[in-house]
Amino acid sequence: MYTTNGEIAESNQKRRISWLLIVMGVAGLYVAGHLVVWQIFAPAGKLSALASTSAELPAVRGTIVDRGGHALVLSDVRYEVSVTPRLLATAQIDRLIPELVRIFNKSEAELKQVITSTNQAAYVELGRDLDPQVKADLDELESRLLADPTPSARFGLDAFAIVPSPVRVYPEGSLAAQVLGLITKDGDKTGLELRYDAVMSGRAGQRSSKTGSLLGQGGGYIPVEDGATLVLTIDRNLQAEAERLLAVAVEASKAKRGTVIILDASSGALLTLANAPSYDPGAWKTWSGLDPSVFNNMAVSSPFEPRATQMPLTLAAALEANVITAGMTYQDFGSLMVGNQRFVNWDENRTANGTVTSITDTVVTSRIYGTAYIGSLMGPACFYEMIRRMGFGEPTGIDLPAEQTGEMPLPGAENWSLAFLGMNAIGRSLTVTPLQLASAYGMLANGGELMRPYIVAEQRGAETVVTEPFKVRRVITPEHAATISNMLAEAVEKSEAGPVLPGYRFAGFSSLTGIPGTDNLPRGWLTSAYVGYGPLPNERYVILVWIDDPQEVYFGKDVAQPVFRELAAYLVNYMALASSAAEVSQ
Amino acid sequence: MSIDRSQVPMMPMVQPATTQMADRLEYRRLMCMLLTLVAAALAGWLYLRQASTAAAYWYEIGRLEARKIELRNNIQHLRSLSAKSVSLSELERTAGELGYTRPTTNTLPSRNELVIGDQPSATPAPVEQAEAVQPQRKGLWQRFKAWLNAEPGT
Repeated sequence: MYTTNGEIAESNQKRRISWLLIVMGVAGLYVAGHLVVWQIFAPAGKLSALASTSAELPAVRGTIVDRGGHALVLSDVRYEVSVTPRLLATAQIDRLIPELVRIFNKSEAELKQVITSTNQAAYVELGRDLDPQVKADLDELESRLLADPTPSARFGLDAFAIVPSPVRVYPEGSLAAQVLGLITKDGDKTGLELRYDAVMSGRAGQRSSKTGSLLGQGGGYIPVEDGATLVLTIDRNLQAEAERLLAVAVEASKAKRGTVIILDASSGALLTLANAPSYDPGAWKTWSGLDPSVFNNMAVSSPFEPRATQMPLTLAAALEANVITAGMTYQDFGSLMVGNQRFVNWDENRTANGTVTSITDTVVTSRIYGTAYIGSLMGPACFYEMIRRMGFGEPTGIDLPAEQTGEMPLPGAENWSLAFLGMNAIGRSLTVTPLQLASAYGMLANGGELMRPYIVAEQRGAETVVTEPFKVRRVITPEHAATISNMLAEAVEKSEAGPVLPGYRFAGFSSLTGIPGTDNLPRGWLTSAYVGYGPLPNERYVILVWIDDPQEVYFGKDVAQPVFRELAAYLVNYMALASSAAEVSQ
Repeated sequence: MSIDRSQVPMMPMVQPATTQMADRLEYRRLMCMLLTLVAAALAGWLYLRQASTAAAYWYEIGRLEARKIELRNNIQHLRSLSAKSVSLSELERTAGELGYTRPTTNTLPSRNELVIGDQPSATPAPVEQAEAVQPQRKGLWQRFKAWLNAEPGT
């Protein structure tokens, strides 16, 4: 019981303090509860959005170098410079403009107009794709301004934003453009840029910090992993020479396009893969007006009828299948029916009693009769199995995108008839890509083993991956391969042009898809090809030249063969290859 | 002498035990509060110090990272310039300035043919002359042996 007024007042005061403490306690509990919820039970994303900061560290895209280590594609940086005019006072503009005139190489009036007469709220772009020199000049200007005693001048460059952006540069210009590929402004990729995108992109790093969380992870650091460097099997000197010779041939024959392949038959490594016409992947402003086909890698994506270049392969298949022997002869009557198709020699030489012809003569004089006859002797099952084993009708497996397989009609297909056997034996009614054909000739050159062609020798990244030569299968015996090689070498030596180079034996064969005016072929169906290898006896390099739709001159010996001969001579000198006589003596 | 209790006011001479205990409890509570306050202040100070140190490092790392990116950009640009300076077009331009021209055809006598060649050289160099031109170089071991076997005084 309270007896005095003082006691009553004290009691009221205590009650008020108690209530205040209760209110404060409740508020404290509320705050503490929230802290617990935020610290322990809050969703990670919600918390990180409030309390964390992170910065992405961009990875540098990998370089592509040739087999000698010369850069073909590499990453560089360009800058975009913009200014926010509302952050600049008139005095600052007057101070900066003379400097900017020098740096941006623009007129004073132009710069003043850009900076002052635009919307004051928006930023204005002063330039893009600017060279690093511009950035260096701006940095130098900033350091000079910071030393300026005038306070307003010091902060003049705060209104400017300099944003770096990665670009791909091509030191060799259009060299191997279709092989290397490109990256468009939208990020679309082609060629090796597409095929090896995963290893060349690298992995961006990240630096993050999280504040306020007791139990959560307190940020972290993920180091940047730059993209891997690709070492190609391409040799830039050979590639440049092939592209030069091909461009001359395409222009001289008024052809639509062409391709050249130089293949190391022993390993399947591609030393050259040239296309003409070409384009400069680094100069996208020049692309308008170009035929879209210039962006395609014709060597892997443009199938054509091999025609006469198929003949040596048919004979090799027949030798391997023991249908013929190297010393065998037969009667060539000049005209032969296989199924419902008549086969006549190119010179239309028909004799009632037939001409005794050897297998070597069949190759040397390119006898359609003999090849179709030998094909028919093999029969469909044997012929198609051997041709399939040579890589026809299936992708070579090269590490390039958009590879085509060509078309090879097989027995049992709806449109197939016995005539196809004879047609296919002489390289008609089936298509192969230039690379498939080069690969099959590589099999003849290396003693009968089909190798998988490849173009990336090494991937140098966090781990180095070396491409080992891959043997797909053995197709024919070394003896049969040597027999065909000698026949083809004899064909070269007995040709109008004669031996390729004194002292060096090269095997080779040309083909022509139809003759304008006689075969009623529509425009675009005419192709001229020459494929060969050497120097014998230790032949190692296959050279294929394919010219599509030549107009002025079109025979393989006139269009493709001169390119082959020039390239073979260049190859011999460049690679310091020993002469055939020296090889034999060793 | 005895105390006249009747003259002493109604106040105990010695405080009762319960009052002393209450004072002691009050003192302890005060001390606990003080200690709690000190501990909280210490914890807060340590937290702030750690946070500010971490922020300073964070800022420094960010500055160094930006510098690293800038230097990396410079390296990329230098690599690009270097690659352009040894490109085939640049080499051809330089060769042109030096008066070199591209041959019209590649089908010339090959390098190997000149070296290996079937035809012997028209004027073969005498053996003595060839030896004089290319004296045999001695390795360290040969020179050491020669020094061991050398006559005294040589």
